[in-house]
Amino acid sequence: MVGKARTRAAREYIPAAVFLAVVVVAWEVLVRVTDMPNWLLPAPLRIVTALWQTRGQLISHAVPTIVESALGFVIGVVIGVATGVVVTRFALFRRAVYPLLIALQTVPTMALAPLLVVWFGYGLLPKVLLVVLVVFYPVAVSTVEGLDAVDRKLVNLLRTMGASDLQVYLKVRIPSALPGIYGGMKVGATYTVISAIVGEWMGASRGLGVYLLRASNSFATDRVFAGILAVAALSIVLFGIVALSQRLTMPWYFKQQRQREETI
Amino acid sequence: MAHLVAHLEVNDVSKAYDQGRGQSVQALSNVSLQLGRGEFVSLVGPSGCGKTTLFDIIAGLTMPDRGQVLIDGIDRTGETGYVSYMPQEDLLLPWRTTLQNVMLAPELRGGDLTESRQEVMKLIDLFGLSGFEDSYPFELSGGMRQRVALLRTVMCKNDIMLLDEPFGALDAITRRDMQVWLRSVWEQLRITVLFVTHDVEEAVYLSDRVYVMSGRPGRIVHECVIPLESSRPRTITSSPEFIALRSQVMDALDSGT
Ligand SMILES: Nc1ncnc2c1ncn2[C@@H]1O[C@H](COP(=O)(O)OP(=O)(O)OP(=O)(O)O)[C@@H](O)[C@H]1O
Ligand SMILES: [Mg+2]
Repeated sequence: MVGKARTRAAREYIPAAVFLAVVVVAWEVLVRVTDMPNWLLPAPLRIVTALWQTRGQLISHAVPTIVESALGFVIGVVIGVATGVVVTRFALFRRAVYPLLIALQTVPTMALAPLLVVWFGYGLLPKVLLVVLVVFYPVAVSTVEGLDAVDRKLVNLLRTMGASDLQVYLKVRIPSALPGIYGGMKVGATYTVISAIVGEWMGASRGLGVYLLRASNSFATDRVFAGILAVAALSIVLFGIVALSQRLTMPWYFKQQRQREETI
Repeated sequence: MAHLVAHLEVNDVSKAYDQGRGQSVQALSNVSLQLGRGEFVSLVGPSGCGKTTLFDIIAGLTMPDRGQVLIDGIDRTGETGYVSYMPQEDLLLPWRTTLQNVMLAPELRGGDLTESRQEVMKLIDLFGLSGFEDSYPFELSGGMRQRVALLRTVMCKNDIMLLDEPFGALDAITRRDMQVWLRSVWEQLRITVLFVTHDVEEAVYLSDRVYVMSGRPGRIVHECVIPLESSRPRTITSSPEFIALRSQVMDALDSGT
């Protein structure tokens, strides 16, 4: 089993790893051969060096970004799921709130960043709010869709067992909506760190966004790349946490998927 | 029986389904039936004659166009929670294991679950599900899923049980075992059972009474009392008395379609 899983993982990831390695080597060679100036395009080795040399600075700038991202993400998910439950539970809310929700999804949330600064200043709040907004929409919409898509027959079965509305949500509707909710959370997770960075660009004293701005203003392009790598790493970690919690809360789902893949 | 109130009474129920564009299908037409407390009654009828519709109405999931459902003489039309219902599809929750699915009703009732869990562990063996307590529904065969669904219904613990073709997906041998088991459990518990099947032999073997329905729109066309002794060995199915009853039901079924 384990060996089989390992070979499948290898088959899946080796091509991507090889491709990445080829791109990085080509980049290094290109920069050296053409003698590209650092402010224009630094070589990968130089970026790694910058990453290592400014690691203390990077870590201390990463802390506020992590706090903003984590707070915003968690609050966004909680409000998104709660909104989904309320919209599907109360017909009036569906008519009043849901069309607006869909319409608001088309508003570019990032464009709200300057407004948030006007309203809430330069502290932690506007950055967290920006992340909340970005995470909220996909989670709310996927929660509504997931809760609506529940098999009516399962709900009816629970009703014959005398289940209350709350029990129907807890035992049937939410579990059956979970795959969709996690989908929405993954979409939100990919935008979370970027939103915190954009929030920081509007005005902050610390954060990876600040680090990036400073590096770019002083033409230290290798540091800009180092900062981008750090941002990407944070995004991947957040995405990984969501994926892992999905595996832990929905073991049946992955077991079933794995079996399906094996029978194909 | 006239002086007693029926445990479950269906009184002149009719139901039509709207098919859109002004079309409708009459699924049930003036169906009446009574079940005494502790009676085992089967309902046989051709496919599409409205048996499942009738069960949905009795369970309170569908409102009839006309007529009432009375439980202990009280009008419960459209009210849920009075009967244990095993639907035709097994409807197991895919995110729950066998054990978790079976424990659904006790869980919804709340309170201490240890007693229910002990009972389930005893029954799981009888249902041929031991070794699969922690399997998810997609890992079970159709027949096993059906047995899980039946066990889940048993754990609902209402004194009226509606079983919609509970043995439809079972092989002949398992099916016989489950019939013997159901009859013996029923002899102990004496709950009121309404049982849908396409298998006339199954209906006669299990029941005190058999209702025969006509093709759509479903009506009750025949009622057949099964005067066999209460405790029924499997060999009873080859007795002349049994064979006569079976052909009586079969004839009613033929003439109703
Ligand atoms: N939800 C529904 N909407 C519209 N028509 C329906 C609905 N449910 C059932 N019907 C129709 O009502 C009729 C009776 O269906 P029902 O499922 O009650 O039959 P049944 O006796 O249980 O059949 P089977 O033995 O095949 O399970 C059928 O013609 C079916 O097409
Ligand atoms: Mg049916």
